[in-house]
Amino acid sequence: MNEFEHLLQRQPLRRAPSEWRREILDAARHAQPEEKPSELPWWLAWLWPSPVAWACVACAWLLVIGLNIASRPAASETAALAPISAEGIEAALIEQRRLVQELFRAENEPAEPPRRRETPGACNGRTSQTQTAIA
Amino acid sequence: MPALLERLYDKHAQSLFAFLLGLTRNETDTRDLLQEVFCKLASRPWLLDGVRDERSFLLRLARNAAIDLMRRSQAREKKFDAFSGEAPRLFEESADPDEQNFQRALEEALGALPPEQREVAHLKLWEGATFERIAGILGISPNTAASRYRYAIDKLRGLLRPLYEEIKTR
Repeated sequence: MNEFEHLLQRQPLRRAPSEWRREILDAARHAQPEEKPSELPWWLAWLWPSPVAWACVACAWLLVIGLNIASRPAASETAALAPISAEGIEAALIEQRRLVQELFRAENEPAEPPRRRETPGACNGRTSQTQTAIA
Repeated sequence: MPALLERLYDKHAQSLFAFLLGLTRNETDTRDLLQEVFCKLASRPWLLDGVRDERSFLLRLARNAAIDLMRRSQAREKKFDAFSGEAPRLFEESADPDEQNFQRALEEALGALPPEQREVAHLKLWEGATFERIAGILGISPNTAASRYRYAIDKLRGLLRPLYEEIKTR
């Protein structure tokens, strides 16, 4: 605090009129005592800040659970689906592995050089023509 | 219970009176509010259960009552303006005329402050409260309390500069 603040602080505050004490305490004595509000049970206290919001969330969850149950396939439909046996899975895996191996093999094989297209007629024809010309 | 109320009155009523008078700037309202606080304590004694700092608690109670009064009046700003304009006697009158002048000027300058600065200035200067304690009483952050206090002191210094310079040179 600086000097100015100390100067303000030194100013003595006025005191309350002495007759107020009796008047105010008399009035307080005549005040009707109120019942202390009962403590809320823990679960209500937990919900207390926004019970409506919590109730809405609970309703939404119940709705989701209900829809989930309702959209499940019936027991007869489930039974109709053939269960996938372990042998079936194994066979599928073997097949898949075989296909992958084939793919790899195909990739690793050296590519064949492009084949020269042979047109023996045309070439021979030109040679025979040349020979004829020389003769 | 009466013994508790008497003890609370004797210990804290002067502080509450000065705080409320500074805030409302109206003696009748201050009396009504002080009575309201003590009636509330009499009718709901459990309010004090677990209270560690009685003075802070009572100041908060008094301030809430003052705010309720202003809201009830339905014209808070108007009411505050009215309070500010009245410039009631806040200090014990000094025998020295120069000090009297300074006190009157200080009362008027305090009236020129916004209520939220006035209450912080009062709690800091005359209640000797820390900014943390002020923050707890007023329900604001300590930083806000500190900045409001700075603004209040700057404004008071500006308004009281001529008188203050005069006092300093004496």
